[in-house]
Amino acid sequence: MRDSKQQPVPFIAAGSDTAKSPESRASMFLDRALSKEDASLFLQEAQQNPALQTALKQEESFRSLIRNGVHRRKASTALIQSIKDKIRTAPH
Amino acid sequence: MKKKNWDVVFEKELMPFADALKTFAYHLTYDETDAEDLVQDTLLKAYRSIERYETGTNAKAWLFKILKNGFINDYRRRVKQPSTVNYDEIIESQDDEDASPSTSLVDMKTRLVRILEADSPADAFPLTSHNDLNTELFANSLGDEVTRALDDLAEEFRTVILLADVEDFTYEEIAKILDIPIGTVRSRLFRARNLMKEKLKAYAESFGYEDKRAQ
Repeated sequence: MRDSKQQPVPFIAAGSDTAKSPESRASMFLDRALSKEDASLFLQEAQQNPALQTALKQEESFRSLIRNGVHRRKASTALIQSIKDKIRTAPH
Repeated sequence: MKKKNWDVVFEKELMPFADALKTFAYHLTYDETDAEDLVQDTLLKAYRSIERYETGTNAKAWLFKILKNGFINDYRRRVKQPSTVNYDEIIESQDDEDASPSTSLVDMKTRLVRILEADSPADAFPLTSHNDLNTELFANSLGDEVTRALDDLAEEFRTVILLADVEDFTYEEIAKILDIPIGTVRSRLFRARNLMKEKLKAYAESFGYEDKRAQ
């Protein structure tokens, strides 16, 4: 898969009321789904808009709860060794 | 490029994602062994087509896409197959058990001798993988609520949370991994996060998160 640039999603999705809510905008900002200009506008507005600020903080703490709370698994050393052994003998 | 060089690329650029792949695979299969099988299949498939990989590009997204396809095409198909029972094997195994009724008594005696001879029970029975698992479960109990809430979600919602919030993929990367439009990624994420918020409301509040969505 080739890496390609993220296509910015419109700041307010047409016909979507939820996209206008502070939660939705904060979510899109944190998802890196805004263009550079929209992200910068969002930050400027958040400095003066307490509702937007609160939504951003809440969304940040929710994301961090998920990121830190989900149990991560570790590939066992036996698995790593087995893969290495298989590629060592695999033709290419 | 020679095999030796491809092997170096594989070890340096693809193998480091084994843990992340395992986490994803585990939350899809809920089974340690199946998860490891999926990770192994994924990495070996990637190795077989490594010539199509351009060094320095998005290896992680590529590997996750292979894993997701392997899960759908191989794993899910395999587990949906009705399991067949070999009655001859069951009868043979039953015969073996009947032939040695004192096995459990011998086991008990051996364990007792080991406890009496050892300085402590821990010396008598060093940690086995089962004990290790219990220790790990205990140590990870703080994240149990989050993991349980995630694992309760339907697969389509669980997948987007794992990709976006645990693995930090963008909408576009998720769309490519799952072969769905970006708009679908966004709406699934929106619903999935709301479901997680509902499930974690009380737990999240104890961490300072206040749910003001309804206000």
